[in-house]
Amino acid sequence: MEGEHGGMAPALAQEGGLLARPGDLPRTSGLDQGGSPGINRSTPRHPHRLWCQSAVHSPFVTLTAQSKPSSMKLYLPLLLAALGLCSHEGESAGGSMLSNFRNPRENFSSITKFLFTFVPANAIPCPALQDEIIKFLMSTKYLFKMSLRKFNPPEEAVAAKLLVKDCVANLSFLSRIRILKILVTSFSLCTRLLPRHSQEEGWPACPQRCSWGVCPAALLFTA
Amino acid sequence: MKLALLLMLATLPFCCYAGAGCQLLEDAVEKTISPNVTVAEYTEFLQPFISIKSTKEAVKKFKECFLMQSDETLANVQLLMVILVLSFMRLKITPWNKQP
Repeated sequence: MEGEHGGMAPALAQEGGLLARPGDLPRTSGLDQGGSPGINRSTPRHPHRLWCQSAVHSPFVTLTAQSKPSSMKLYLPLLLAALGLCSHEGESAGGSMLSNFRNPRENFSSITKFLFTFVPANAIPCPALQDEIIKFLMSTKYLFKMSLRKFNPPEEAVAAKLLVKDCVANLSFLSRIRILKILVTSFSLCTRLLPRHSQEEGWPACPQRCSWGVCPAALLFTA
Repeated sequence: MKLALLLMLATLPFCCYAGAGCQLLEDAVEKTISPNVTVAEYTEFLQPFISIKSTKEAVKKFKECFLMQSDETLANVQLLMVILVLSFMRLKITPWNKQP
């Protein structure tokens, strides 16, 4: 019994759905390995293409199954967006990226940073950290201790910081200003911003918001 | 596509970690506190920002203040910085939480 009606044909995308022409491939013979007439049990030559198997002899065979859009295609842009938003480096990544290339172990990290150099999602230096540096260098011991209270740190951590502050207090006022200029102003330029107080009320760096939007301390160093 | 997805997922942990928002500032603070960083290494790191000799001297003295301390003291200072940055991250996620 010849497999007259059987055969496998490549699917062709048409307006009404996926259509297949039975005459496109050589027909298979007989009962293949105990199967029904005309159905080829062997692996198709092009497994990546959609094939239609039919026992009906007609010029066109309509496939009813529509191919579903891959959800994988949706995940990729979502992941890219998540990566962009999560990347806390933002524009600041470019600053220290070149130095990382000297160390081969950090190459992957450096490349990752480079990818997100132009995504300034969270690229605002921590206002609390900047505020702490300013107070550590310029404020009195008592005021500095009071400013740390809001973070509820352990007593030994505060005591340790005050020990270092005692030593730093021995530096001249001009020396402390110069260190402050490096640690606060210069490093804030990695985001192309002056060290700004946050405009959000809940952030610890800014109990009273600056009316200028810029820390008064930063204005000393802009000249 | 699956490989690209896998690579993206592998990249996420490298990018999504709590930080101060400025890697350069974080590195500077870390190098300031670390007892393993010498005065020479510290000044070399800050060299692009040091314009005059008196600034270099100030930076040296500043670093020496940290090197004078015990390892335990410096560990506590480091702990304080971590608390500070993490509290910033917490408040950044929910900025409507008002501080007392």
